[in-house]
Amino acid sequence: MSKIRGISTTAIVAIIAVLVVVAGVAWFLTAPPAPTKPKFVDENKLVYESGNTYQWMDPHVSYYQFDYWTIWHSVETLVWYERENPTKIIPWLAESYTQIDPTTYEFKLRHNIKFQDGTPFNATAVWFSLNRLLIIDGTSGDPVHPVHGSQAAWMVQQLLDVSLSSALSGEDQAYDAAWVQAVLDQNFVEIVDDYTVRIHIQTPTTQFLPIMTGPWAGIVSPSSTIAGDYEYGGWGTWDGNYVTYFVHRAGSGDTAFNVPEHGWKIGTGAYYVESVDPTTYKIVLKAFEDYWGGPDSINLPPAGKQRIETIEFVYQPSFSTRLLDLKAGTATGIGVPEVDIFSVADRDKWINEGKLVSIIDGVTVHGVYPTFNTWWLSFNTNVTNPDKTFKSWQPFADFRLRMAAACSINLTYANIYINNRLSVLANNIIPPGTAPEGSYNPDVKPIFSFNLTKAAELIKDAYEHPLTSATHKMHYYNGTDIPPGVVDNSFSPANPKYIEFYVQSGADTFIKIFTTMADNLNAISRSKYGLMWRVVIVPGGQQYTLASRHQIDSYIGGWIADYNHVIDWLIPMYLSSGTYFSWNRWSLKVLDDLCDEAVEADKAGDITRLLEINDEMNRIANEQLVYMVWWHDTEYYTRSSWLKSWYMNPVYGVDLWSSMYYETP
Amino acid sequence: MKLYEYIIRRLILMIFVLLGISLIVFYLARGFPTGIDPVTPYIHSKMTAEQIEMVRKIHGFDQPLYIQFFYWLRDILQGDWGITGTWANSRPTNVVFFSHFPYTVELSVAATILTVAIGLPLGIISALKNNKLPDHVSRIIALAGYSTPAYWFGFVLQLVFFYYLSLWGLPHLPSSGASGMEGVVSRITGMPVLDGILAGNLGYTLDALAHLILPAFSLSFISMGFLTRIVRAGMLEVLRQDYITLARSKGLTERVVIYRHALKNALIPAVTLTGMFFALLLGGAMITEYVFAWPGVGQISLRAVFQGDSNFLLVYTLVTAAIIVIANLIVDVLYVFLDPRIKY
Repeated sequence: MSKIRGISTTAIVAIIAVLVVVAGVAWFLTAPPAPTKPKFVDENKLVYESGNTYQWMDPHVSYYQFDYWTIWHSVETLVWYERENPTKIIPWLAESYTQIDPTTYEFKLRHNIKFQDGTPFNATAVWFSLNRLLIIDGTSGDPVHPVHGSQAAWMVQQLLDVSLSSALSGEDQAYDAAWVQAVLDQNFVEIVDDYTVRIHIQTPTTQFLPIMTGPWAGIVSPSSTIAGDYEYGGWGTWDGNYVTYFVHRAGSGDTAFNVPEHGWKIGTGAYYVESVDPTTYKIVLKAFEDYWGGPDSINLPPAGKQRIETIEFVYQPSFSTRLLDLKAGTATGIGVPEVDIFSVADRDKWINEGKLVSIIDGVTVHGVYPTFNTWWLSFNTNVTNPDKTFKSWQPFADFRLRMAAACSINLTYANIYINNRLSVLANNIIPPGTAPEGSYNPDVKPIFSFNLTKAAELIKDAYEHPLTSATHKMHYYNGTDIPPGVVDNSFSPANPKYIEFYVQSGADTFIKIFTTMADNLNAISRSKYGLMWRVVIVPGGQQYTLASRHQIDSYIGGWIADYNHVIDWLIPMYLSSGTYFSWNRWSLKVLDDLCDEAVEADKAGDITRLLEINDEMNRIANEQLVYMVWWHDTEYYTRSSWLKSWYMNPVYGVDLWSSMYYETP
Repeated sequence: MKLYEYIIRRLILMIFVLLGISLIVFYLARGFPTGIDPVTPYIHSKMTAEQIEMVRKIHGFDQPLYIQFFYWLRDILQGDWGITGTWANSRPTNVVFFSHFPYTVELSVAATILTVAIGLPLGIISALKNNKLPDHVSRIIALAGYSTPAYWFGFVLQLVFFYYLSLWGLPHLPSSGASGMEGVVSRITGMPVLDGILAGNLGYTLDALAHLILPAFSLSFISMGFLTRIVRAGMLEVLRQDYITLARSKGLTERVVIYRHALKNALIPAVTLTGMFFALLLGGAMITEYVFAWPGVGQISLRAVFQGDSNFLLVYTLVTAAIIVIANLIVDVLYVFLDPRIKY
């Protein structure tokens, strides 16, 4: 074998070949051609990839935001939101509405609207749909162990006789023929004629119209719905009597439309459900050709533009794969987690100029938009052991320790550098834009700010003068008062104690913030006073379970408004039997009384008083530091720049594709 | 002991093994101090404390642990494997598991075929061309295989064979998923390629095959490396044996010596490895299925972990354990055919 200076020619050829291949690959990878027209444009198809999957797709069962995305495109409501002012309620399937008296609303229905199955939309469909919601009153898809009392039904049941609701009465209903008749006898929907209904509520409220915008109030085709449920339930042949159907359906959310593998055509919306794959979670929607278009055709593309024919929701758990699909033009839009925002948007422009600018050719980042939700740190009192015995160590019963925790983090810094500035700092629980106007009052401010010196002073005081008896807010699990001497909040290096921040796995931003807080607080108190702070990461459901059983010191909580109205904040957040106060075991009589007053003011339509009460409640909560309010979320959407006429509804946090079309960017 | 007696004995033992596994796993899932509360997957942030307690009562999670175990065991034996949380639409656990399982079977079979089809010849070539260029190349491939993280290799495959090829307008493979033509053929086995073949739909079958290539190759790359090394080592050892020298001295062709005399004996450890690899894959390749959105049990069990769904994880662990025990048994039986000296 010939050699050049000791190296064989074979080796030289091999090295050259390798270099050529490496150079070729490098050129191939670094010099891709400009993106061309994506395939989905030619196919007139919209592909949305995300790491979320649906839970229930029956509008009268679901209460999950991702489900709403599908449901909104398929099922419509009597009233909904104006496009240019997406918090203003306008008649939708209804032509008009009138409030006849404080508990009666008359809706004139639009003519010539068809359901996707070809049947006409009329008063009977409204009567059927709204009563179906009340009668299902359940969520679980498990036919053997149905879970009674659903969030969806609860929304409307609160306007009626609450003794007929499992969730609101606390009593499991019989769900028999007598119960069905009792629900129907409330005469919630009265048919006046084929295109006029009167809705009778039992509790006057200004929340009525916002509640009626929710997907739970979706109007469905009676014939297709009944046929689907009869086939799915194996109930034989329907006798034509709606009551018979309702008796079958009573108390069970296990309907034909939760996992509609073969699709559905039960709504009046712009798209019908073509198929749902329960294994891959892929949902396919197809354009409904006879769609009426919404009021003044606002739910259709501009004249001359072609509506998107097919919408596919694809479950793609890996963000990296989603991003490749978006860049390659196989996905029209993708879900981008907050921690990955700078994979799609220019970091400097966002941090310095507050503009979300895409760094991907052919892709637009829309936003940020405000949404109606708030995140906070819950300080719990009355913490119990798993066997329900009262714990003597009640750290957050002590105002000083609540305040010390609140002073341990710079939330402005955290929002910018940990949360990538993707939220709006909260002054109190009420987010901007909450109805009625004036509910959001930035003047009701938090009483804490980042101050480690103050935190150190507070902890020192709590160490030197520990809380040794129960406060007026504390009581046993069964509600009886706690006598002096049961609480022992003493701690020292010889008697170390832990305070735990619970947070759900995957919530990376919150985990980082809690870790920072724990680090700062441990630096103050760990070795000097024997008070240790730690972060406990658990699945989301586990966190809620422990919180609901009052077994944890604190946790990260968030409330997404069910509909845009201030009452939907005050009750769950401040009433002692509301969701979060009941979890946290706060029981402030003054807030309970104010909640009652707020409901009365709402019933009377006295908005001025309602807003005064709202401010007062937020002020008290801030002063007591019942929550360390963090921020209100925002939304942003990463979509192909070919997608035009883009808009979203902030109340439900979804973008709406009915009026969209493709055009060269 | 006859072979069938041995198999029956092992199958009987398997019942006790599974019972033991179920006991341990049940305790870990439900009773371990930091275990996930079984009610977790049913809970959402808007439930009241009373509603959560109602869920707990309905599902019997308020009972003492040992009673829960017997209830669970009874239900399992009666075919009621419990239900999943809302994350899997509250469907029965066995329905969820077995709707995803065929996808994992298809991926495992494909990955195993690729492993054997590439790893075996590479190992043989490597041994026959010991310390020559083919051996070096083969060893580099093997080393790269078992030292490359599966998730990273998956991304590289996606980047090259999907992203860059599609950007250049060249024929490319899909980035993810098991099929791009869902609903075109009816679900018979749940394995897209097989369903396409059974339906006689060439387009669907080819589309399903295209979706299968990247995840299968990504998975096989790791085991291919191990198999290559094992076969090479086995072959080198066997090729030095006296009976090989004898076979050659009798004038047998090199082909007969290698494939009939040497390879058969060198295969025993390779069969063990392939069998165990296949069994492990049937338990689901979590990361690969996640990266490629492959709807197998690996991906779904990963979701169950994050949701804390002990019902699903119990079933998943039990079935996976059963698969591994059975695979072990099959491998042991195969030894008899590969090496007549082995008796049970």
